[in-house]
Amino acid sequence: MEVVPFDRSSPLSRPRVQTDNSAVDFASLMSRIERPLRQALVAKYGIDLGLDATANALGWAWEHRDELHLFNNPIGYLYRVGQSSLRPQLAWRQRRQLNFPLERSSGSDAFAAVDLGQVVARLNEKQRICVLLVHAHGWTYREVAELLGIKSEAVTNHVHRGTARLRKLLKEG
Amino acid sequence: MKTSDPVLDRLQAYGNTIDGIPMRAPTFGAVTRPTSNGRNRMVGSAMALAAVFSLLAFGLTRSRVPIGLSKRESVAALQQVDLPPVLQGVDTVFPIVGGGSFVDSFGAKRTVGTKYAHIQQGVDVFVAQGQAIRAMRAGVVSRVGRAPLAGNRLWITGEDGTSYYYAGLEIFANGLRNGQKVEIGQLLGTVGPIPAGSTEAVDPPHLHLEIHLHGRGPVNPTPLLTALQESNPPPDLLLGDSVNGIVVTVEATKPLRDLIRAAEVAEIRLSGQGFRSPAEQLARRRANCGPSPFDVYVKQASQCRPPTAKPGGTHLRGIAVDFTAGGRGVSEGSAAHRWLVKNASEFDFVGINAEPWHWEYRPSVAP
Repeated sequence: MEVVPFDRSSPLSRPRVQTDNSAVDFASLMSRIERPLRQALVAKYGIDLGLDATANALGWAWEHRDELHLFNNPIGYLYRVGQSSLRPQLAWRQRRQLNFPLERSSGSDAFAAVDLGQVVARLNEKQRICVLLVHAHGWTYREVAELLGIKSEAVTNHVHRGTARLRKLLKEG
Repeated sequence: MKTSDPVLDRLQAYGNTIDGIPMRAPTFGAVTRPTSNGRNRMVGSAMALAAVFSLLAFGLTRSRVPIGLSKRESVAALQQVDLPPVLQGVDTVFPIVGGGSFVDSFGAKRTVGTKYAHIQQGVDVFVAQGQAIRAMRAGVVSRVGRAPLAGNRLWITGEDGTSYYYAGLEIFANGLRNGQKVEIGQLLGTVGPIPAGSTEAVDPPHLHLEIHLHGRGPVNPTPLLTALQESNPPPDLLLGDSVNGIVVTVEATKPLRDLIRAAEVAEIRLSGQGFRSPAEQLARRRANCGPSPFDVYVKQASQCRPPTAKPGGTHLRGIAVDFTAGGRGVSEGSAAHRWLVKNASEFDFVGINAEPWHWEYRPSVAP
C-alpha cells in the first residue's frame, strides 16, 4: 500500500472560527474537523461504535452550528459529545471486545502472523488512543493532550508505554 | 514518510486503512449534549441528521435496521446497497459441499417476543446435519467461538474487507483460530443442530450465512448463492450422455442403457428423469408438498402428492431415475413396474416402496 503522508492541518493548531456566517463556516469547519474527530473516536471505541459516535457528534454540531465559533477547542468538545451520545448503548456494550478493522495492506505482509487490529484492541484505552493518534494518524503530542485534556508529558508516557506493549504483543502473538 | 521501524510503518499504514473506511449514517436518530453541563438533553432529529449528511455529501448507507419496521420496510432498508463486484461470484464457491436448499429470508423477523428478537441479516442454507462447510472466499478468520443465539460461529474477513459470517456449526475444523489465513474452499466445520434454548430450535439443521460489506453492513446473499448453486453443480459429479432423455452419472449410464434396451425387448418403453439441479428439486418439492419451509424441507416424502424426496437427495447426485412408461409415471401394479421389480436388480438398480417410479443405481460390491 502506498503510504499517504500525514495531513498536518489539524484543526487544533488553527485559529478559532471568528465569524458567525454559520452555513458556510459550518461546512468548512466540518471539512477540517470530521477526519480528526473520527480518528479520535474510532481510536477510543473501535470502528463500529466510533463511526456511530462521529455521526452523532456531527449531527449535534449541525444542531448547534451557531455556537460552534464560541468553542476554543471544537474538536475536543465534539469528541465529548460523541462519547456522551454512546452512553445509552454502552451499558450493554461495555464488556464487549472492541471491533477494530483488520490490517489490510497489499504488501507482502498482508497476513502477518499477528494482526495489528487485534493487538490494538488489547491495549488499554489511553494508550490505544495515544498510540493510534500519534503513530497511525500523525497527530502531535500537544494535539492529543488538548483533545484528552491531559498534559503532553502524560501523552508522551502513554505513547511510549503503549508502543512498547504493542511491540511485545506483536512479538508474543 | 517511511520510518526505519517496521512496527511504526505498520501503524502508519493501519491509520490509512482506518481512514479509508467510509462514513455511514448513525444508528439512532437523537443525540445528547455532553454530560459536563449536568444534564442529558435530547436534541436533534432524524431530519436534521439527514440534512447535515446531505450537506456534507457523506455516503448515506443505513447499516442497521431497528426492530419494529415492517418486513417490507426492513427489506427495503437492508437492500439499499448496490451489488459490488465481490458479490458477483468471482473466486467464490458455494459454502456447502454438494449444495443446499435456501429461500430468501433476508429481512424476516426472527425470535419475535424474546430478548433475542432480531431481523434476519442473512440466509439459512438447509442441509443434512454433519455436511461439510467450506470457506466461500479466501480470507482471515477474524472471530471464532460460541455465541448465545448463533451457537458455534465464525467470521472470515476477505482481503477486500468483506466479512462472511457462518453460524450454526456443530464442530469447527481442526486448528481453526483467530487470525488464521483461510484458502478458498477450505473446510471450516460441519453443520449442526440449532442450539437448544433458541426459539429457532424447531428449525431443521442449517447453516446461517451472512455477508457484510466493508463498513457497510449486511447485504442479501440470496442472489449470490443462487448464482453459485446454479453455476456449480455438486463437485465430482460427471454426468453421462442422455439415454431416452434420462441423464445420470457416467458410471450409471451404461447399466441404465442396458436396462432400457432390455425393457424395449420386453416391449416396455421407459423414459423419465434422472439428474435434477437443486433449484429444480426445490421447485418440484414446493409444487408437490406445499409452500412453507416446513413443507419444503421437513415433510416426509410420502406425505406429498405425488411423493417427492427431500431436497439434497439422490437426484442431485445423479444416481436416481424417475421412470415413466408411455408418458405417465410408473405406477404400482403396471406392466412396467412388474418388469422393473423382476429385472432391475440385474442392472444394479433398486427401487423404493413409497415411489414405484423411483429407482436408484446402487452397484453391488460383489464381483
